[in-house]
Amino acid sequence: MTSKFRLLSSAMMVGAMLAGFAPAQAADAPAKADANGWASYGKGLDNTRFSPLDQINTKNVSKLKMAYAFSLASLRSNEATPIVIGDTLYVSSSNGPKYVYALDAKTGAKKWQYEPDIPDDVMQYACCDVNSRGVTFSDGKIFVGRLDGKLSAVDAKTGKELWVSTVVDYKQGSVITSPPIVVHGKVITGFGGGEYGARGSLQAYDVNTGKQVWKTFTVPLANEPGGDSWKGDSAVHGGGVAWLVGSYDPKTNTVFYGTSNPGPWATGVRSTGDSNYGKLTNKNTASTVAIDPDTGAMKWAYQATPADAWDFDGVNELMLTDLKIKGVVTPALMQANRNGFFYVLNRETGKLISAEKFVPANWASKIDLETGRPVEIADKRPGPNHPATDICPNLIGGKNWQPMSYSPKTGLVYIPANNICMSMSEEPGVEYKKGVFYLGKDFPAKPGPDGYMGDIEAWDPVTQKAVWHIKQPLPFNGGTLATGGDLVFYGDLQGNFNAVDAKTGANLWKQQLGTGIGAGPISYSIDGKQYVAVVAGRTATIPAFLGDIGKLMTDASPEGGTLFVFSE
Amino acid sequence: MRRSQPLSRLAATLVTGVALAAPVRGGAQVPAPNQPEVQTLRVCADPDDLPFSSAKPGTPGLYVELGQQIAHALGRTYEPVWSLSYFGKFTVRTTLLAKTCDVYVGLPGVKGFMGPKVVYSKPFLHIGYAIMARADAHITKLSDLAGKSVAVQFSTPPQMLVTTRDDIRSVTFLNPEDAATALDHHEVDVAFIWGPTAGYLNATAYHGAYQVTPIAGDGMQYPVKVGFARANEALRDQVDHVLDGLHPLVAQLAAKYNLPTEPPVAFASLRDVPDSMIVLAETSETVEQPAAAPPAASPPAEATAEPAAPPADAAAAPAQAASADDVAAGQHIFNGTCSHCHGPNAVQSVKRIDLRLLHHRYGDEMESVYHETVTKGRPAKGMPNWSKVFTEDDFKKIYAYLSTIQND
Repeated sequence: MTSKFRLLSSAMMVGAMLAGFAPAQAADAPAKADANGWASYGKGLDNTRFSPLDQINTKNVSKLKMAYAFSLASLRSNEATPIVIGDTLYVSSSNGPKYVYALDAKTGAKKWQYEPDIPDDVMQYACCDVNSRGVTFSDGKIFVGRLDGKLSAVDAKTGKELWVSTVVDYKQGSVITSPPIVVHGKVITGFGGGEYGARGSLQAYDVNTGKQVWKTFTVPLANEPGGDSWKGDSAVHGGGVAWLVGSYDPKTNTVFYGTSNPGPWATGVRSTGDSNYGKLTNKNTASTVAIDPDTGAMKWAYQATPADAWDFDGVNELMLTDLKIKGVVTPALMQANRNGFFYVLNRETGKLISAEKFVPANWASKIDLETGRPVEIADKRPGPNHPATDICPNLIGGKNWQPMSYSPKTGLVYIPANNICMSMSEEPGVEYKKGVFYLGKDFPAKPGPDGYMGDIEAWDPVTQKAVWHIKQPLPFNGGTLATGGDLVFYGDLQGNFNAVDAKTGANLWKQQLGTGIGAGPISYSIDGKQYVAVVAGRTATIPAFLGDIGKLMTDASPEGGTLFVFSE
Repeated sequence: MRRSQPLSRLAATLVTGVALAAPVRGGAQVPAPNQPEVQTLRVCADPDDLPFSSAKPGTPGLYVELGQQIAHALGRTYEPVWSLSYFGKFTVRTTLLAKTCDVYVGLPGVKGFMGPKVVYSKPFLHIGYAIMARADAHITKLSDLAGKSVAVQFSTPPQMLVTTRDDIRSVTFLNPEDAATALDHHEVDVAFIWGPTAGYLNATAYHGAYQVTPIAGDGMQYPVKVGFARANEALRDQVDHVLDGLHPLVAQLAAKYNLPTEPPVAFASLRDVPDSMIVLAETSETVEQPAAAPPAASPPAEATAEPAAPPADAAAAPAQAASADDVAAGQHIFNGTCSHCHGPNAVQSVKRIDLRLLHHRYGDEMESVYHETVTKGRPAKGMPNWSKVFTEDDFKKIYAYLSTIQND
C-alpha cells in the first residue's frame, strides 16, 4: 500500500467515523459523508441501512453480475452483514465466528483471517444457532463478539489479536452473536440467554485495553427503582438480555438497545399470569432502553410487551431517523417489534408517538398511545390453566433479527416480515437440561391468515400503513438494503437474491445463490464503481422450533456460507 | 460441582475421516459377511453429569453402568459416546438422531418429548423433585413451607408451585448444586430441587446430614426410559427384553448412587393452585406414579459410592521423562500413521486438529485426554479408536514425541 493510498484510505476512515456520529438532521441526510462505505452493521449507528449510491439503479440493475464470491468456510446460519472501511471488506462466518476475514473489497483477495480460539463445546450453549452477525470497526481495530461470551479486538490491518475480554459465562447459556457498537472509545455489547436464567446487562470495554468500563443491568432487583415490577426474587434471573445490535444518537449522546423477553417462561413465577398484571410488568424486559454511553446510566426505557407471555423479545434493531410528523420534524426511533406492532417513538424523550400492526396480530387490539401499553385480548394470553390458541404472530415474531432498511428518498421502511401463528401452553412438553427434567412449553406453529408465511413489505412510518407487499411462501427471509438508485435488495430462504423497485416492489433482477439468505445486503463504492454484497447461508436451528414449517424451511435450500459481491 | 468437562475435545481428523469412520461403527448394523465380529453398543452419555453419568472410570454413574449391563446382556461391546447435554433436546438431535450412538439411556419417558423420531423402552426408573431439609424440619405438605425460605431451581415445577404462595420466600438457583450449597450454608431453610442430585450430594458431600423426600404432583415425577432412533425399533425390542432382568441391578444402582428411594409424598398439586401457570397435557404418563418403584430395600451400606480413586491406569500416570529413543520411535509411528490427518511432524494449519496445541488446550489434562482419545476414538469427529492397532507402549512413545513439540 503506498503512503498516498494509505492517506486516502485513512481519510475515508475518518469520514466513516464522522458519519457514524453525525446527527441525522433531516430526513434525507443519513450518513452522507460515508456515501461510499458501509461503516457498521446498520451502515451507520442509526441502523437505516440506506446507501445513497445510485450508479446501480432501477434502469440498469438488470445487468448486475457477480464480481466475486468468497467462501466463509463455515456452513449454516451465516447472518453477517459485512462492513467496508476504505478499500477493505470485513466479514465474519458462523460457528463462533469460526473466521473473520479482511478482503480487498474490489477483488475479494484475502488480506488476512482471524480464527478466534472458540471452545468446542460452545454449540451446547447456543440456544438459537451458532451465528455471528458481523464485526465492528473503530480506532484501527476490528471488534468481534463471540459465542464463548468473549469480545476480541484485532488489528484491522493485520488481523493480529490485540485483546480478549470475557463478557459473560457462556456455560449459563449466554452467547454473543451480534457485533458491538463503539462510542467515545468504549466498545458496548450485550449477550443472549434470556430464557436460561441470565439477567440482562450492557457492558462497555475500553477500545485500547479491553478493560470493562461500566456494566448496566437492564432488569432492576427488588431494592432498585422498578424492582417492584417483579414477583419474589424472579428479577435475579429475569432475562431482558440485549442480544441484537445497538444504535447511537450523537445529538443527545444516547445509545439504544432492545431487550429480550423475561424469564422464566411461566408468567405465574414473575407476574400475575394474566392481563391484569398491574405493576408486575417485569421491567425492563421486551423494552427499548436508552443509555448514556459514557457512564452506562439508563436515561429512559419503553416497554413494548409488559409481562410478556409469548416470547416477544423487544430486541429488534432500533432505527434512528427524523420524520416529518404532522408537519413537525421529529427525532424518531423506529422498531418493527416481534409482537407485530411497528413503533415510532420520540428518541429524545422516549414518548410513544404511534404504533400499528405491520403483520396480522391478534394478541392486542391496539397500543394505547397515552399509557404506551397494549390493549390485550385476554383470551390470547397463555396463562395458568389457560392455554391460548391461534395467537398471531408466533414466537419468532412479526419480524425477527433480519434487519430492515429505510430510504429517505421514498420515506419507506422495508421490513422482512413473518406471518405465522401459534398455540401456547396447550400441550406443555418436557425438557431436560443436563439430567434435570422440567416442564417445557410447546408452541405448535401454523401459517398465518391467508396462508403465506413471509412478507417483504414497504411501510410508511408516518401514516403507519403498508404501501406494497411481496408475499413469500416461507418465513425468515433476508434483511433488506435500500439504495439511492431507488432499489431494495433482499434475499429469501430459497436462496434468491432480489432487487426490486423501492416505490412499487416490482422485481427487476434476481439471482439464485444456492443457499438461503437471512443476512442484510450492503452496498459500497470503490474507484467510482458501485458494488452490492450479501452473505448467504441458510438458517439451521430455528426451523427445529417450528415443526412441519421448519421442515419446509430446511428443505428450501441447502446449508451454505459464502459472501457474494455484484457489480455492473 | 459444575466444572468444565474433563473429557474435552481432542481435535477431529479431516472431514473425510468422519465418512470413513462412521459406517464401520454402526452398532445396529449387520456384521459384514465373512467377518462375524462382536457388535458394539454405542451409548450416548454426558461425561460430567453425576449421579447419572461420568467419564471418570471410578464413578461411571447409573446410566453408564446400566448401559454397560444392557450391552453385556445383548452380547455386545459397550462403547461410550460422550456428549454434553446442556440442552437435552439439542443433544438428542445431534447424537441419537444423527446416528452417532445407538441408545440414549435416561430420557424423560413422557409422551411428545421428542416427537415420533425417538422411540422408547419401558420405563426403568422414576425420578423427580424432592425436598431436601434437615431431619427435624418435618416438611410433609406445602403449607409446612409457610414462613420459610426455599431454594428452588429456575424454571422448574417446584419454582412454579412455591411462587404461587405469598407466604413462602423462594430463592432461585440455576442448578441444584448451588441450591444445596445455600441450604448447607444456612442461607435457606429448605431446598426443593431435583431429587437424584439432592440424594447424591447428600451422601457424597454432606455425609447424609439431610433428609431427601421425593414429592408427588403434576410435573414432579417422571418415568425414565432408554431412547432409540425410530429406525432402531428392533434394538428397542431387544433392550426391552433384557431390561426385565435388570430391575434388581437398577435398584442396586439407585442405592449406590443415592437416589431417593421412598415413594413420593403427595404434597400439593399444581392443578389445585389456581394461580399456577401449569396446564399439563392429559397424559397419564406425566403423573404416573412409580409403577415399578425401585425397591425400598436398599443394598448394604458398603454399596454406597464414595468417589473411587481412579484405577491405576498406566497411561494416565504422570509422564516419566521419556528417553530420546522413545521420542524418535514415537515420531516414526506418528509420521507413519497419524500424519495422514494431523500432518507430517504434526505441522498442521487447521487449529482444531493441530496437535501442537494439546498442552495449550488441555494443560495438565493433556495426557489423560490424549489417552482417552486414542484408545476410545471420537467417531463423531472422525478420530478412530486405535486401541486394536497400537499397543499401550506405542501410545506412550507417540505421546513422548508429541510432548516435545507443544506450542504454548
